[in-house]
Amino acid sequence: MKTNLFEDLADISTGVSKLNVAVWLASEDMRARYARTALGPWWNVLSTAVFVLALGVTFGALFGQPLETFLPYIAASMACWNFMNSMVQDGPMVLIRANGIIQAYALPLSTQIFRSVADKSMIMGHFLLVYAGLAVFLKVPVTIPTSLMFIPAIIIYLVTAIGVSLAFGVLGARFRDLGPALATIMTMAFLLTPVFWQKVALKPEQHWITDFNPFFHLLEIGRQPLLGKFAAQEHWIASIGIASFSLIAGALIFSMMRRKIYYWL
Amino acid sequence: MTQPSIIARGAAVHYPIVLTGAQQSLLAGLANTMSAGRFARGAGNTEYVAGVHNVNLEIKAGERIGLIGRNGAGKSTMLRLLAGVLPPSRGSLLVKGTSTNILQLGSGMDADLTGFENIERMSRLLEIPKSEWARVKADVEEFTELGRFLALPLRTYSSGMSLRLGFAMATSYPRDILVIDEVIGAGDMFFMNKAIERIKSYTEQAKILILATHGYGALEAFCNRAIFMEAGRIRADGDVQEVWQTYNDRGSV
Repeated sequence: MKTNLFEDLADISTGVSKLNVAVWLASEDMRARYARTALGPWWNVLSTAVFVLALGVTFGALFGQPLETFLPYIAASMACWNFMNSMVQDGPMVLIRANGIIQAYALPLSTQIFRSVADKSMIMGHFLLVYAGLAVFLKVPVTIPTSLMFIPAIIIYLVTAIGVSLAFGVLGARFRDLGPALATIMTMAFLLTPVFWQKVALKPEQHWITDFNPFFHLLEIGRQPLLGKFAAQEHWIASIGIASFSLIAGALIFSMMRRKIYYWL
Repeated sequence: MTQPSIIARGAAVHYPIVLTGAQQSLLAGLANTMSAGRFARGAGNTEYVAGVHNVNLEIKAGERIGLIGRNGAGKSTMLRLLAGVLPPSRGSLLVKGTSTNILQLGSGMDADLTGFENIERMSRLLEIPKSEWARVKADVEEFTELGRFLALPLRTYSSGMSLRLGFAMATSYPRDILVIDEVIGAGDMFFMNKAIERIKSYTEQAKILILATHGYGALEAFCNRAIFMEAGRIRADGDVQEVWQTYNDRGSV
């Protein structure tokens, strides 16, 4: 069956060569999701903006944080967190949802994976626009070298997201518990990860909560550049590790299960 | 350019059936493994239903195959297999050439989009080169005779109208292999006559057609080879009239 594994990996490379189809499908998803609404994808942003504002004001008061630094912190955190969270939570649905197209067209299975990553990236783009507005308004001290570091962060995000979707896409079609299980885990992860609180609030003996938390490292490399700072080297090293592991494990799981998946959809 | 062909060697499709939730659940599977079977007993071996058994088949360019058989004989599974939508769970299947299928009515169509928008949508999904879009659009417009309906959302279409659109799209930019399930029965007589003309010119260009049908009319009109299936196996294969006769004889026993 060795030759088959290469054949199955080829599904992913064909998917890469047909990225334009995936991106177009993602834009169609966006259109269909918000068809006949006035705000469209900005609903997503509006609800997050309200969330950021409410959380910022309440917790800012609770933690005694000045709003002009705390609001951008939450907004930057949420832009990054929302991408990671939706990638994980939506992963198990990616192939199930696309069953109709999978059965009828000669497109590779991985097109559906790239479609999902493209979709989530577009949503993140909306969040970043809101953040940019906020950053200008509150004069966040962003410099060119720090913001340039956002580019490698995005690449790491995309690579991780592709790996996660490859794995969860096929696993979710086979094991229908995975979706609800991940939703439960992500609620916990949201509270355990310093998304709206800061690591300095932890005592040194509690640092393991963040040190062994992959979301924290990924979050740091994405949001620090947005806040005009450099993320610590350890976060970059951890994130590169996470991205590589995710891509390799995802590609292997996807390739091993690809043929069977048609039977489980 | 190589001629399209399909070669199946001992190909079989076994569908897993999920009887209990436990079989489909990761947690129950884990619990079962860790407790050495004491927990979640339902998670044991999944049962399988055989869709088709041991198919040995060779289909050459220019063949128009009619698949006949009673309900549940495995026709649809066979079509999915030959369309390359379902990989065989056993044996091998070698498909040379690109294929298009009409297995389910309306797959890939969006009910909220207009006919014209759906034509563009399917052009992309079928990966028709952009330079061909205008020709495909004109061709579909002419073939479907949907007229002003093409400017309306698909929601307003009857099933016959969606069929015309789907069929026109699948045949407008011919691929090497065309696989059609019984859905084609939703069309009226006028559509059938047009479809026959179109299929004939299609297969003249050394393409392959595979069609499931219940009626001798469609079989005789579309096909030059028939395959009779029973209980997931091929019972007869060859001349349209002879195979139809075998099928009828079986039915009357």
